[in-house]
Amino acid sequence: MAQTNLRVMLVEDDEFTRSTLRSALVAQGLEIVHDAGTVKAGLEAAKSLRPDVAVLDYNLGKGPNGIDLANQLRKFQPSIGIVLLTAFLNPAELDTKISQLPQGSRYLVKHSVNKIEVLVKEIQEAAKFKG
Amino acid sequence: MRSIFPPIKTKPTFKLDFSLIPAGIILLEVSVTLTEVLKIHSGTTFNLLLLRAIHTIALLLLIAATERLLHKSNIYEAGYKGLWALGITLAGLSEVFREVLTYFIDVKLDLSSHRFFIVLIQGIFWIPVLIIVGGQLSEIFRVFKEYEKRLLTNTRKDIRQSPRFKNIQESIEEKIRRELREHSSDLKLALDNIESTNTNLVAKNNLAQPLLKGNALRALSLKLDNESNSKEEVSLFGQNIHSVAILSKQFKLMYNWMARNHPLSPWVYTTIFTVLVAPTFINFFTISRFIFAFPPLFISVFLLSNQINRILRKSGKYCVAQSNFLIVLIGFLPFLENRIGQRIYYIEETDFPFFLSGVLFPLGYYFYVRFLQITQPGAISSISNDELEASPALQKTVSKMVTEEFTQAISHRWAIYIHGKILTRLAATSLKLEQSVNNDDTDTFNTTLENIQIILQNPTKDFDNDFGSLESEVLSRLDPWNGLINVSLDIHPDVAKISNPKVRDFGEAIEEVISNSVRHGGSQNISVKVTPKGDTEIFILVVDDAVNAIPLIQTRIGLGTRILNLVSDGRWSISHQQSRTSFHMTMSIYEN
Repeated sequence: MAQTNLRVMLVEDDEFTRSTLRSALVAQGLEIVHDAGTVKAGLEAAKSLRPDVAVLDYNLGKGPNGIDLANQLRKFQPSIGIVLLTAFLNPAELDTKISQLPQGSRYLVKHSVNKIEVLVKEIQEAAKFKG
Repeated sequence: MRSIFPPIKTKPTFKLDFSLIPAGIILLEVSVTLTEVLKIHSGTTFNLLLLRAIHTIALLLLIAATERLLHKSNIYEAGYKGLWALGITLAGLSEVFREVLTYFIDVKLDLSSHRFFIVLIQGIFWIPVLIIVGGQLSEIFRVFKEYEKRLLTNTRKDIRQSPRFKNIQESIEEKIRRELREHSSDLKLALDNIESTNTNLVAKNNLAQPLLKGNALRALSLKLDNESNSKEEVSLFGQNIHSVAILSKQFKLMYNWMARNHPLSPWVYTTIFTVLVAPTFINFFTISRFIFAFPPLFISVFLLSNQINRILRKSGKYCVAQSNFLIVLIGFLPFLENRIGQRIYYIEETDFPFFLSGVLFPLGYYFYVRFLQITQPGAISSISNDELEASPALQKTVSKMVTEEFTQAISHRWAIYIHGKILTRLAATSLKLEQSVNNDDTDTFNTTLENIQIILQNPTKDFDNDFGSLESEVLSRLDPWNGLINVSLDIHPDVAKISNPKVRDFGEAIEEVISNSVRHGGSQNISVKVTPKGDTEIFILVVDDAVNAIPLIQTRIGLGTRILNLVSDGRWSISHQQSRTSFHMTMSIYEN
């Protein structure tokens, strides 16, 4: 288990995926300050809870995507760490969109998250961003 | 729209536009040079070409100076009399300069008295026509552009509603569904086998994990994603070329329709002939020979022109073909008359070169007539009645375009669905199984495996249940943006409750516009208004405060543009007013 004091927010529109990620991260010792299924809920929570890192799904269904949310989060919390999860196997497939990600953001293929330590490591890396 | 050449008695005024004159002068000079080279002349061909080159340059300078002088004198318009005076002055000065040049360059052509008639034709006809057409060129282009747009919209609509296209749509979608079902079924079968094996949790998990990568489904999703981006973006230049290609394919149909419905008057056919042919007759013939040779030709052309007009007005099955034959015959009349005349009484200097009478006259006459026919003001204004059908060539082009747009839009929709729903769920399942193994939780392991198998059993379920009423669809697209930006919706009650598959197309279009406005325009406030338009259509107005103005003309066509084109049959546009950008779109909401 990776002991850490990081406070993490999770935004993922698929409920099953969200709850699975949450329990896995909690089991790794991370504090999940909030998990949300929508951009709106994620933004509101971030404004009040000021998490260290936001783990965001790229595809949040209809409306804005994870990159839109990440950019907005950085506007009012410039130091927030960002980890973007995608279902794309090859991150290069996302290349053009990755360029729109805020500086210091990390991205991860969802499937590799089955080893939760991989995600924890990315969260820790993202948290190093100081704005 | 008034006539390009309104009757003299109405005392019309015309904008003094010289933009076409340089092109007209160059064409005329080339034609005259050709005639003179072919004709026997004293002096060398080099001298003749030199004279013509200097004359052309001088004429262009004269035109530029005249335009400047008129503008300095605040003269921007003129009536017929003014145009004739201007034309005769310019043609006369050109002639005087030509005469002066012959003193310095050794070329002797014809008698000055002959030239007088040519000056009259140039001054009364060519120069005024070039000025009048030049002044209305932008209007002519605008009308044709509008026509093209309407024609494309209607053709798109017809094709989209045709049984053939519906079959294509079904087969494309069914192919995707079949592939998704097959891959899902294979995966489910493999997971079934693991579930039934009598091994421990760790071994089962080791078998399941590679399968849960969902490689086949991922490949399918990637393939669809590539298909949705496969067509190269089309540049503005490409769009214009495409537009010209479509119009040229449409030209024949347009001409046929206009010739039947707005045939040119016999005088127009006769005047074009006279203006085209008379200068050559003047050049080659003495006045007495001209008086002898030209009137019979003129009368024949007038009689044939009457016949053309009569045939077209009757609008029989082969009327256009018959009229075309007579137009070509008129073009060949000088050749025929000259050949017959030379047979009867051979005079070397009146023997027309074949290239002139056998090629240039027929071709020139044929194309002049066609051009004037399709630019008839009455005909152009009739375009707005949408009575013109698309040509088979245009239909084929549009059909291909619409099919591509549909393939790309549907591929994109499915790629997003497979990524967002199926692959995400597979990844989460993979994590959950790992966690279950770590916790030695057999029940959770089995339940998780069963849940994913249920999804794989009917992988298209969520895709199919994806639309509600128009209002709920728009709200589902707009609400997620709240928080990031301020979005407001005003939807007319008459259309709010509409519920059919078109609603989802509408939702995708709205999403495309909003995301484009936020991501590229940097908008913070967006309002969306949806109102009914007629019985079967809706009108959408999206107004935003984009910081980075979105170009009015899309210089590149990407997937987003294609989705909008498909949904609205191309009936969308963008406009800017001060700090606001407005997007307007009309779409059919009932038919599919």
